[in-house]
Amino acid sequence: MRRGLALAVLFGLALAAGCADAPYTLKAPFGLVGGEALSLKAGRLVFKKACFEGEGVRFLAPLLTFDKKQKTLFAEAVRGQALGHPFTAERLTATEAQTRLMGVVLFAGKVRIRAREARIEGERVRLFSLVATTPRYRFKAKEGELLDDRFVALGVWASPCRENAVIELEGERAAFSLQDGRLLIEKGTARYYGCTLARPQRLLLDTRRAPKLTFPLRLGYQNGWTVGLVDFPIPQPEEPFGAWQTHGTLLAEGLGGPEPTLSLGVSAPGARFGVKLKDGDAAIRLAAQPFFAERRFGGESYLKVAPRLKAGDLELRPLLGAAQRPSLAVEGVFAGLHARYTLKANLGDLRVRYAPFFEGIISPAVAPYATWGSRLEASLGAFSLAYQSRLSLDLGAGALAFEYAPPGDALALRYRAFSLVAERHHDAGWDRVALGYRGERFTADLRYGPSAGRWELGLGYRAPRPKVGLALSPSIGWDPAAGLSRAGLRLDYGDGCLVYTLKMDAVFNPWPDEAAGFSWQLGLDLR
Amino acid sequence: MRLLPLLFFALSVALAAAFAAFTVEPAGDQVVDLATGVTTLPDGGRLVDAETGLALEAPFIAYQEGVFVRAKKARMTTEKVHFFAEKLDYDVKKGVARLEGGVRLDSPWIEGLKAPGGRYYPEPGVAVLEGGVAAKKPDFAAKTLVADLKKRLALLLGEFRFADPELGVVLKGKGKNARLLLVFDEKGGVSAETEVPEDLYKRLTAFLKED
Repeated sequence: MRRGLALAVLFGLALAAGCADAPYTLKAPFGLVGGEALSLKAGRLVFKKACFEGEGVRFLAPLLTFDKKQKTLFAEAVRGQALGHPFTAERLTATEAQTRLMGVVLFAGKVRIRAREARIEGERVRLFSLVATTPRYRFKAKEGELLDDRFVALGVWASPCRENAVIELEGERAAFSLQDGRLLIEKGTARYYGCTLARPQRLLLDTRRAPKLTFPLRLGYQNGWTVGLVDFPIPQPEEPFGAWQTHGTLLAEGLGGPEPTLSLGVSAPGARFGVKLKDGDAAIRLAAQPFFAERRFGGESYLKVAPRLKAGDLELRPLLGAAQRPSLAVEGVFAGLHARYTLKANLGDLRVRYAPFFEGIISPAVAPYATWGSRLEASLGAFSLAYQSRLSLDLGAGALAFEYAPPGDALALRYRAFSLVAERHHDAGWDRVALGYRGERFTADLRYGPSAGRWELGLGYRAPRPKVGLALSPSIGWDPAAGLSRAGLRLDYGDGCLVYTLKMDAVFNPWPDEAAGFSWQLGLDLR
Repeated sequence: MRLLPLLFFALSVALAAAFAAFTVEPAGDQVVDLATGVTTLPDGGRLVDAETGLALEAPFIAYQEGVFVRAKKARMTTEKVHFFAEKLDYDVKKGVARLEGGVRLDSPWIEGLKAPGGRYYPEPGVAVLEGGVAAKKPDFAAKTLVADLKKRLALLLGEFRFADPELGVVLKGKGKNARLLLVFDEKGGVSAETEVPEDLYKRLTAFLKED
């Protein structure tokens, strides 16, 4: 497609010279013909290395013939522009009323339309038996009409699959916007393996982005069964297929265990709402920038307004809130400021990014306290480094009651597929050092926890994602003291269009930030 | 239209051969200068070729056999072709007739062909019209026209315009290198071609140099 566009651009430049500048020209009622040579014999006028400029259409052709009897223009191997859209055509015939193109390829924005025939009538371009290739969809139609900035087609078929049209979308009529690449199918039918899934009245596709299909079903076991749907799409009007931005969650965790929990949630751009129910208690969280409200299990509640202000590389977030924390015997209002400055420098191949931050809180309920730290990132060729530290200072002996992030340090060094990662979490009282290799197919990690006095060796194989067929990607973790510490298996199945994934993980000997158990996760992805 | 070459052909025959043996019909006096051998018809008259019927008619004619024929407002007529030159000066030795002060030609093939001046070469039958030529039928205009009358060819040179009312089109050639070869057939049809065979182009454009 890029080559086609490049050709179209080159052709545009060639046309820019204008047909009127050709050595030989012909002024006819339907337009201006030019060429580097002409001949008129027996009522046939032939131009060589010809060009044409008419209403809504202009083109170049190696040979152009005008027939006296039929008053028709003929050309082959044509390159041109119709209503500003570049095209190529195997054959062209033009009369005063109509220009017909056969074997046409037309470029409209990023869309390449191939049609058996196109007819240009004044400001209209009508196409017949067309196949369009957009960045993310294949598209066919019996008939279509190209207008200034949109394309309307009848008898349409579309598929996001590059091969094996497993997912098919059909419609009586479709309107395609050349401006934003959106395709609206009316009276549509969505099919999966030929089975009708839905018959939407209106189905909107964003042809420039791959539809993001997810498999929201979750199944697992960690202190009881986990079952439910996480982030399932809730399509909104005027939202393209597969570009859903509103999601819902309905998940039950710990079923059959000591603490069964039910989670309900909705998320939309810039806003989230969630409720968790457990043992007759409820936890509620609402975030809608810049507001945040939360009630935790046990009755702790928290309310905050924190607008984000940016001035160049400086980011400021003034905070104003109120909290009730029975566990710390604190309640009251608080105010504070979060500030972050990002410094970027490029010294030859060395790229450095340094971001110090500060957060200070005052409240009539507790003594003032502050948190500060910084994050440093640097890279030089295949080598990169990231270091982050966070410290806190409590000016009184009171609790760090309101805004608070636990102190810690993290260091990551990477060179090609190799990495060295060290983490230290001061409050949680644990730390870990890991040496890793993440190749194209094989992965290996050696993890060490100094405070836990623990080693773990992880090994894994990642199979390439199959076009068609099944692929297995196993992984294991081994602890010298306890034996097998974890095991995982990922199954990928490809049907030529979609890749279905089943990921199974079991943790036998957990680290402090995880729990023992197993989980299954299903995934779905377009190839 | 097809009489254009015929006309020039007839003219060439007349000038090269016929005027060697013509009948003179003076309109008035006929003055012969015995010292120079120049005959002048101060009141004009007609020179008629007895064999071809070609007639040169002018209000003033002067000639010297085997050397020149000069005429003012010369009107030449053959069966269907009418030819007019404000001033005609035929150099018999060089075989070229200079046409000055306005030339006009009418024939069934080309009607109303006008040019400020030109030259005519009876042998091989080539006419050069220069300074901007224009014809009514077919409707064309060019900077220069070189016609091979025996072969029924006319080469338009320089910026040209050629209109075909039947096609409803106007052909245009741009710049000094533009060219259009018109070929007249016996039925009166005309074909046009910008790709002129190289040898033909060389042969015809050689007549643009006067001597």
